[in-house]
Amino acid sequence: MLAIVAPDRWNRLGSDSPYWNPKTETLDRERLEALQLAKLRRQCEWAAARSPWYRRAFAQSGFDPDQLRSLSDLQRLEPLTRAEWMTSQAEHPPYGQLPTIDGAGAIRVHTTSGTTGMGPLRALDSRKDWSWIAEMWCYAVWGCGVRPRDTAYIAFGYGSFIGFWGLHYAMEKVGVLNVPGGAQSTEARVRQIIDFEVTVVASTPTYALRLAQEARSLGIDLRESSVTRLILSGEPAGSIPVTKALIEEQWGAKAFDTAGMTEIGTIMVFECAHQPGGTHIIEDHFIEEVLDPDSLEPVDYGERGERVVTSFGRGAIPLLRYRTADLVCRVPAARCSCGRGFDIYEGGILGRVDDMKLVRGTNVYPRAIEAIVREHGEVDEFQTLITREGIRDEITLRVEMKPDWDASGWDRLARELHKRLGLAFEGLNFRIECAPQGELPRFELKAKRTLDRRDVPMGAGR
Amino acid sequence: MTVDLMGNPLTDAEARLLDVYSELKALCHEDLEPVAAANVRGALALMHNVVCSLGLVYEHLSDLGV
Repeated sequence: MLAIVAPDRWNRLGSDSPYWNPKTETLDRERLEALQLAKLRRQCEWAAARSPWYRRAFAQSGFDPDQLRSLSDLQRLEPLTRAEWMTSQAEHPPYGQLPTIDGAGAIRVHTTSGTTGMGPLRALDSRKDWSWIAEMWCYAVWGCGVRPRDTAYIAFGYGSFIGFWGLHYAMEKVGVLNVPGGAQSTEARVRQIIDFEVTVVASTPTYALRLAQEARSLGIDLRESSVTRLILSGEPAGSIPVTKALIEEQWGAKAFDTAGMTEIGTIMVFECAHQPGGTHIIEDHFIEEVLDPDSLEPVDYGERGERVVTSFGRGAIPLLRYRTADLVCRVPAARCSCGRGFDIYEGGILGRVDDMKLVRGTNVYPRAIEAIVREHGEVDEFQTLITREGIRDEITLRVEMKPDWDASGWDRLARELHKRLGLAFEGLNFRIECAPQGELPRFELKAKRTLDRRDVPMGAGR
Repeated sequence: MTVDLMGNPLTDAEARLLDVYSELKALCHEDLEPVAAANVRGALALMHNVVCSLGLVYEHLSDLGV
């Protein structure tokens, strides 16, 4: 006769540890780097033996995996850019020369959204690589306190964009009851979150706010729901303090930031339960360098620079020194009290190296605008529009207010936003406009709230 | 193998996990029925997470169809 294992017993398996992988998450720096070096040597040998791209790149850089004596030796290899990857893909369709396998050796292909005009980037994964992708999400899921007793709702389209696919499988691996939220209206998603007594919701930061907005319109107060945690990804806003606070206030739940990219297939950073104001780098599976984007020299702790990632995970697509264009500020692990040895990106992903806009000589960062706008809880949605009028650049903040907002307060709000944005951006004169209800776009993935129309001919449609 | 990638001696549990992993790899070389061949590879992919994340082994498995 088979013994019946009580559900509670499963819930307790390993659950006393705050870490998914205590052995490596608590390594000191010296041992962590020894582990990274051992993996790096093997990954470089693999790339040299199997990837036509890297065989050529190593020869051009005079880089020999046998000569790797320390992590700094990796800097002798020229960084890889997205443009180079895309060019290789265009010249050797459909996957380019980076992969070590062809489609016959893979079980999945995912693509980026292809907004750069060169078509989508296509990423192959083997069975082992796909399992690893879910594994990286497990560090985040477990690290923020999700346990097998939880019920998760993943508000995601489950399409060819890789997004939260890995999180879905991570939830299953941990033993969480998973409610896939694909192909649903926002209203249906809100109702399922309530009906299934969901305790963890995963979405982009923007969509977390959209769900809260929809719940309000349905007369549902999410603060009275079962949800205790939100796992955020896909946009920098998950670590913008005011946006995060707004999400936490509207849901009555803790919000945890993560960040990843299609090029690595998964996440490389996560926010632990201690919420240190940033995200831990999963350093036993990645080497993350922070470089000056112009000189490509490493910057010190506490300085902003561009993320350059080396991944140990994918064998089908080895990724060595890949320039991500993500803007970050790395600080030591000790900044957090959780006990992990993994360093932290303070404030998460701070934006894109290339999303800064130059307006009348002033650097304008979309993230900084959002941080100011989100201080005003009465704002439902917003959009920044940059135009050229004659020879002069203009920047306009369009603001859509919540439906129950008292319009008599508009003048004061507009003055306040004008003043705060001017102070933040060297006196730049923002026009502030009130947009009609429902006019501004809502986003499920990767919100695009800054529109630069300076290259659009007069009269062209918006 | 008696040490991990950092030179630490393997614990008893780590040695047993490594044995399971090695046995699954060995089975991939056998001529198995589809039901066994596919599920052994699925199990090997999962076990790779264990031995790689614990720093016991670092390798890729595409030559085994994994």
